[in-house]
Amino acid sequence: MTEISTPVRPQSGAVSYILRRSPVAALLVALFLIAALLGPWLAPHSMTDTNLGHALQPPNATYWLGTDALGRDVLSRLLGSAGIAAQAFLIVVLTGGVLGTLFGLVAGGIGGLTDLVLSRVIEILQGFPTVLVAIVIVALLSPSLTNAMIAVGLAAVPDFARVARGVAIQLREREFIQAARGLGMSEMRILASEVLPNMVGPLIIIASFDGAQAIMWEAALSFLGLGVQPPYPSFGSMLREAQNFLAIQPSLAITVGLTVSAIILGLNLLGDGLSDYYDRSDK
Amino acid sequence: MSGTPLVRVAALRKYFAVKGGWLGGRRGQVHAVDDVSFDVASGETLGLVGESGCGKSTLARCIVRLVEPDQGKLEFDGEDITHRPTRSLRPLRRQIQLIFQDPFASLNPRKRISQILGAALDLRDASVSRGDRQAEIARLLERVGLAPQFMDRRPRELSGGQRQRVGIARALAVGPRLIVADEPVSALDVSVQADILNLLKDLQAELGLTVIFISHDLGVIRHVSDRVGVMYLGRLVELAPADQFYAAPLHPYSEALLSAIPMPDPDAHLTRKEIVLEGDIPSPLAPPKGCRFHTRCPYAQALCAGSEPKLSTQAGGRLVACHFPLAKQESTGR
Repeated sequence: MTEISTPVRPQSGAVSYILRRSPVAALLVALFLIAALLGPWLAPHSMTDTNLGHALQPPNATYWLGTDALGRDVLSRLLGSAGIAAQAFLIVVLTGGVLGTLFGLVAGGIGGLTDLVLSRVIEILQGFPTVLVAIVIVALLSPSLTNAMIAVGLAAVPDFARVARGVAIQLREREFIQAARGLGMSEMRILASEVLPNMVGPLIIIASFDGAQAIMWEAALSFLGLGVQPPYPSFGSMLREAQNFLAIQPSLAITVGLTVSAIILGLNLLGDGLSDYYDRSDK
Repeated sequence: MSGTPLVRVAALRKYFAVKGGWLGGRRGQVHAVDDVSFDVASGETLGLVGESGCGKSTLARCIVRLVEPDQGKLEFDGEDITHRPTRSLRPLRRQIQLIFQDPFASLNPRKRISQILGAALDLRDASVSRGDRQAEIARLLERVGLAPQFMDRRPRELSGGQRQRVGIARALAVGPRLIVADEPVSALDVSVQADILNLLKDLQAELGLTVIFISHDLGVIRHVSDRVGVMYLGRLVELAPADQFYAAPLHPYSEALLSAIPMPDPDAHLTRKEIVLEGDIPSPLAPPKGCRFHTRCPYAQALCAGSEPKLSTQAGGRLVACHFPLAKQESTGR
């Protein structure tokens, strides 16, 4: 006797869900990705070559978003900054995500004393002031994007760890985990192959929020001169340079500020959309 | 019956500490399984019944050693596995499999059926090629009455009955000798229950499995069991061959349970004695002194409140824990 009829509930994928539910997020994130990946090829002018004869021009046909005090094309520099922001995003999400997930998975999945110790380590990490740690690391090593972002990534570890630990604890007593244990799977294999796949959704949500934060921290550190070094563009250094010309050419600061805001808004909306998607599909 | 039983449970106890209050101090203990003993012969089906909260599920999890018993002894095929550490338990796990109550919780929602069954097959023998593995998964699915196309589905695309079939296939994948089925049909629609019960019976006959079948439904137990054990508040109160048990229960609690089975004949209540138990099942945190059932027993006498009856052998080799077991002639007219 073979059962053939099945109630098939079609599940739309995450991508089509986001496209339908929050098109603004999809648009902003898509623009950000295109700028970050193809920036160097899309840029109409050089990002670093100065041309004092064309300094501080308002938006016009040649320079769509105008030029800065050294006559560099703002659009090209924004495209370059997007690439830097994407690097910041990646470094932070990789550092925080890998370490945090590992910590949380082991703490929540094994429990007991392991959990107690790891949870305290996570709390200590959480107590660190992000900027100060980043500044100290950069001061000790050298001002560079990678160093600054690893510091920010360490500050993101607790966020990932908390979520991973919560999911692991919640799953530990679920019946399919007991079934795996009953089949004779080792605890490590259960964590890797049964628990971890169930964390992906919540972790992606954290990644989109913490990634947006990373872009902000990158801008803040570069604004202070601790991140990307001149003449290379980044949102932070562009804002710092624009600051001196607020009275003469305010569009400079506004353009850069709006771009950063739009990227962060897009990522946050994406995070909200994804969290709705996973809430729905887990039921 | 052959010499050593496949499973021997002797004076098994499992208490759970209830924590709470100040600094997580102990507030009490739940007597989930309290001094339970029985044997299960190879190839037999033992049915265990009882109300919810009587310790059936804890007993099941003790037998498959997902939970370590506190006291007593648990033997499998002559070997003492009561306190065997997890690592050395692993080879044995393949011989003892649990089928879960809730087929919606017992399958990993993120995996395809082929991955779920493949992982189980890998635990038995990891050195099988991909093609052979696929064929083996298809064979397993067929054995539990599912078409091979189910391989590529995810649990959420299956109905409750289909999921339970996958759960059974997963248990069979590792080649077990003992199946402990913990309320395997109580989460399913009535129309599907019979299919799953028949599947279990067929598989048992075909593969020579030994089954411990746990349910709160005496109708279901009757359908599958060779022997029936009745649990109340962590204790085994009666153990008897199924036909004798259903013909004439010896324990007042068994009698009350049997009288609560709905009968298809609308006039049945005219001829049979109906016993409605008063009150709720007492808290397992503080089981009553004396016989645990005396607070609800219609036949309770002074002795019952004072001393607890031991499980003792009656005529015909039946076991009952009662000071005043029901005589056959007095019992229900079933």
